[in-house]
Amino acid sequence: MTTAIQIGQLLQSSIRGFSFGCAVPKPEMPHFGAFVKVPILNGTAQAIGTIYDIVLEEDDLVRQIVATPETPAEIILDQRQRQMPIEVSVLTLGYMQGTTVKSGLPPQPPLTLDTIRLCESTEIAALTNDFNFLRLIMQASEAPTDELLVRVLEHAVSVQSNPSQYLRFAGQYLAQLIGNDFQRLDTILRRLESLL
Amino acid sequence: MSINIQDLTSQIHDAGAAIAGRISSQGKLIPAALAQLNVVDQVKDLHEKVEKAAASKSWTGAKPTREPVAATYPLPTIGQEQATVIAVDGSQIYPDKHSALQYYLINIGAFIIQIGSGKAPSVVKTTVLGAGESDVIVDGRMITVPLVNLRRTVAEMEGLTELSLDVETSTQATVISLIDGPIALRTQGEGISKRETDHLYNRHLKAIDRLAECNCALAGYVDQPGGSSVLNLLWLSSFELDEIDAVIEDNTPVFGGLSDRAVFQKHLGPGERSAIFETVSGWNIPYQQRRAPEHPNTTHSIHIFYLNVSLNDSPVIVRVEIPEWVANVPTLVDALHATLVSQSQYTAGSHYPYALARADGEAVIQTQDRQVVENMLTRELLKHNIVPNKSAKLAMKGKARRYQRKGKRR
Repeated sequence: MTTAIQIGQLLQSSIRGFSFGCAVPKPEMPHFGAFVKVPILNGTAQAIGTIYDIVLEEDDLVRQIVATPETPAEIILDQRQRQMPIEVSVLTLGYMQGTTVKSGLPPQPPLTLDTIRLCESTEIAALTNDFNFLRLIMQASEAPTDELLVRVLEHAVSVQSNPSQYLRFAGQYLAQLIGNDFQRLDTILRRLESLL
Repeated sequence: MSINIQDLTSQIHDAGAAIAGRISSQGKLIPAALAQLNVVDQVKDLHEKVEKAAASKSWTGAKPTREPVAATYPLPTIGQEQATVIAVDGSQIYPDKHSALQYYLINIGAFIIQIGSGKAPSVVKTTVLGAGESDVIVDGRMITVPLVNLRRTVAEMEGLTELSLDVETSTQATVISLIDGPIALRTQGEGISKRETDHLYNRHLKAIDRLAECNCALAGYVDQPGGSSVLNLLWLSSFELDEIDAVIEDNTPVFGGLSDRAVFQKHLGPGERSAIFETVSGWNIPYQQRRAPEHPNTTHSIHIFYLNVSLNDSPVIVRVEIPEWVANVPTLVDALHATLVSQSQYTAGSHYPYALARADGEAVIQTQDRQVVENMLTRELLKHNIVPNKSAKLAMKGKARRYQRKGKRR
């Protein structure tokens, strides 16, 4: 993730998160758990979040084609490249003003039609240097939190200079957050071990 | 829900009975229409009767061509393997006099597929915003819905022409240029000035001229057609020549208001098409008067045939409109016939040509698109220190509706 690729435009937003629309997923398109950013405060800052859901809208045309016995190659190719409506949901984890990155919720939500971009490695590193973002993920009732947490930490570890130490600290932070749910904590820690 | 279900229930009951009654009584007339169809080609003086009716300028109907009226043509076994189909459709945002922003928008979607090539099809979208003074104020008043529709129809034909010419120069295959709906402009009774009408016809006819020059198979695809021009012909044929004037003056719907579609559902087998007819109607006159370039003694006069695009026992009848210069070339008609039936098999549930379905999908303007356009326009106006104001009526409607929605959630 070294270039800020434009991946979509904002559909709706709140302080806690936002959703955006984009075309059919391609390899460079957003992945579950990826870090993305969008302008806020009239372009003077960027809200940063992580993708927690990607929904392909139901498509009646595809339903009909599926019922056709022999679909020509041209039509299959057309469906592959079609601008199918995809809605991507993002959980806000922090924001960035100038070179300063803060974890927590931003002062204002982004505006509709603003452009969503993938975060640079340096931005991910700055946001995930402390573990406040883990609390926001664990509190997000709308997201599959445990899966999201593992995937987000996978991204965060990839930009750290000392991945094993980083994961150890992350585990300690999680123990404080959900130490009373040992089985859940144990499952997550086992998943984190596999990241090394 | 804001409607009164109690009031509606009894009305729905009455409406259901009325519709069922009408369908039943019309159904009884189909055998009579079919019987006339089966003898029409033996009718003496048929052409004289039609010429007399057409000369009256008040009769609308289908005029026979070289093909027998009752003829049916099976699905051609060849003709579409190498065709390139270009389908165009349009949609629009109408102006709203209560809105803070006075504008209209036309969106044209096009889909291009090279059948049998194994290549990915392509799409082209063109969006035209009409927000200038001369766009929205026409003949001293706010542009009307019919005029926006006509401008969209002209833009569709011009878009189709540009794409067809591009494709035609790069392929040896037959180029099939499809438009959703009728080909011809219909301006009568729409309250549009002669100056504007002439301007639109000029652009429309020029676009069709260019399609004729490159010999593209131009066709308008009319799904669920409601016309009765062939039935008007059958009705006319059942009278003597000296009774024609009286028949024309009688405005009672023929065969109890039956549609051509109802008759051809019984007459056309799977994949079959009807004979080709020339349309006799006031709206066809500008097209009959325009010579088709590169086609001697031929015009753009709109011709039609009915087509059963279903290949099973449940017929799906559509009307296909073509200009005379397409109607006169059997290979183009065959390619069109085969392609439309073939394309309609990929949308099994609806039997609608895939290329047109895709063009429609590219053209359609969603509710949220309107919001996007208005946000962009508002932002632009704010840059010029102009704050758009909705009418009081629209503002109150919005508030009342929001309140209703909140009430529903509670």
